[in-house]
Amino acid sequence: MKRREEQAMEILEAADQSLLEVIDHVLNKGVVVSGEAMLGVAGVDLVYLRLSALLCASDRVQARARKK
Amino acid sequence: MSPPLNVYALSDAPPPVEVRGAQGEAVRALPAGSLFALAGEVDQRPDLTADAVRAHDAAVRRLAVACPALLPVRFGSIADEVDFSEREAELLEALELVRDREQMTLRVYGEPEQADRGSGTAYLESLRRSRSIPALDPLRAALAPLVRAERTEPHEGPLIASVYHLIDRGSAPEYLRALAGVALAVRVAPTGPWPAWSFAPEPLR
Repeated sequence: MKRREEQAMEILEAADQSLLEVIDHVLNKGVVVSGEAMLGVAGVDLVYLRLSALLCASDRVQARARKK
Repeated sequence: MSPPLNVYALSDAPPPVEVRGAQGEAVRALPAGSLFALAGEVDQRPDLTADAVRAHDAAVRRLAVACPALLPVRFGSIADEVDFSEREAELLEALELVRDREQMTLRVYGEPEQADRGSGTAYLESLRRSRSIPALDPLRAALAPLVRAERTEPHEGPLIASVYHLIDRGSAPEYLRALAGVALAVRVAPTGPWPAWSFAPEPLR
C-alpha cells in the first residue's frame, strides 16, 4: 500500500478546483477525533501546504483566461 | 473485536431517517455522553483517493440534511470506540452555533498588506489588522444581515486568506447575490453551501 503522503500528492496533482475545495474541507477541517487509529496526521500538513499553492496556481490561470 | 467505525459527524440527536455512509453502509448513531457519533462499520480504513474523499463529503452532506445540528468529522477518522467526555462542553456549544446553519467558503486573492515596521506597537497593530483582512470590510458590511459567525484563516502568497461564513440554511442564494453586489480591492471566489466544516472546536494537542 502506498504511503498516505504519496496518495495525497497524487490526488492533488490531478485535482480540479472543485476537488481541491472538497479536499480542503474534508481533510483539513472538521472535528478531529483524538485517540483513534487515524490514517496518519503527518500527511495533513503536507496536503495543506501543497493545496494552498495549487489554489493560488489555478487562480492565476483563471486571471490569465479573463484577460484574453 | 468489533469492526472499525468510520466516523462522519457528531450531532446531539440520532438522524430521524436511515442514512448511508461513504461505502453504502448504514450509519449508526453511537451515544457518547450527550453527543452522538454518526459512524458506519467498515471492513477496512479507506484509502486516500479522490473517490473516497468525495464519498466522505457526500455522506456528511446526507447526514447534514437529516440532522439540524451537525459537526462534520475529518476524513480518515477510524475508531474502535468514541469518547468525547473531555471536550463535550465545547462540542455541544459548537453544535448550538451550527444548528440550522451552513457554511460559505471564500478564497481571497490579492496583494498581502505590508507590515508597518515603524515601531513595535505599530508592527503588532498592522499584523493584527492584516490577520482580520481589512480589505473585506465592505463585504462584511454588505453580508452582515446574513452572516451568523465568521472564521478567517490567513495564508501566504496570492491566496491571502480563506474566510468561512456561517449562514442560515437556505440563504446561500441571497448570500451570493449580496456578495456579487460588493466592489472590492481583492478578488473573492466563493464556494458553498457546505456543512459547517470550519466551525469545529480547535483540536486538542
